[in-house]
Amino acid sequence: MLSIALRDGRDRYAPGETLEGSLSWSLDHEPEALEVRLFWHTSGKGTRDVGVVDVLRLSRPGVASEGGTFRFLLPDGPYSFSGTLITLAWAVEAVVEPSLESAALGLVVSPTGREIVLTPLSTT
Amino acid sequence: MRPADNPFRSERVVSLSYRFRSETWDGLLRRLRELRFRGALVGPRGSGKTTLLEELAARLSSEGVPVLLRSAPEGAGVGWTLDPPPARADVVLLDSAERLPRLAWLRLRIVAARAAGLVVTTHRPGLLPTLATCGTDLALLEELLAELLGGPPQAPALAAARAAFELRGGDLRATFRDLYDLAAAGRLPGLPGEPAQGTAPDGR
Repeated sequence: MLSIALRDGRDRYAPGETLEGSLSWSLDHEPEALEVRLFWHTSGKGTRDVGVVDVLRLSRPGVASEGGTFRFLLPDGPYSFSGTLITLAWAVEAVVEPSLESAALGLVVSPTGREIVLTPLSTT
Repeated sequence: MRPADNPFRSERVVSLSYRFRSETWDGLLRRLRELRFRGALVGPRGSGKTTLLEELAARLSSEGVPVLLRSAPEGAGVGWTLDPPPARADVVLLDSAERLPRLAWLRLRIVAARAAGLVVTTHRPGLLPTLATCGTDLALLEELLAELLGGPPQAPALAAARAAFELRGGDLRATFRDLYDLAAAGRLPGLPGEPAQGTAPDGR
């Protein structure tokens, strides 16, 4: 079992804010490492793009732990947005090595606290 | 519809597994060994050749066969070559071999002769013995559509998919791109979470 939680269940942030969360895990075998990654990714019509912004790595973290905390400083961008061709979304994930068991949570990073919606320019 | 919610978004389409119609994995791998790991996956654009090649790479790797998976770039010149060159134990898997000019193809044959094998995808037979022929039909379209939509497609979506499939000459990749555009524009009724054509949002 591997789970990830954000402080106060908050999943909307402004650029430059600090994101805090906690991890709990109970594994069958002691992992070599556990990584927590802050990243954004695109989804839509084109080739998928991913940007890993920060990584916290715990070596030999033990088979179980309850409530270990992590903290990331969010960058200035890119903002969470959806247009016609792509959505850019943020997420934080925890990955166990070498089993690759993982858990992830989606985030919104934008000055308004909401995903920016891009609308096509009018040609008239 | 947000791109991330579009059932035809690219990561969902590329995650579709190859569907054998009359062949099986065992048969394909047996034939590959009979051909001493030299053969071609032949078929028109959007018929699943690249998917099959990638799945073949994964199969061979899982059996401990080292593979070198590459794609011939669009506009490849006569000087194009494998860089770095393959090791002796490598089976070279090259996507889109038809993009190579004849001289580059001949050089690849020479380089790959020192490797353990060469499997390519190409639109037409003739480069190497045909290992498998890929094709599409309406039944395959419906099967893949059902997977992307999480169930059998409703009549309007199926009709739109069939029309796009015909328009694109059976090219499934192009068909799904067209369906992406229709879904993004809200012109593909009957998608999961959306009302079917002629049905009010409250179901009336």
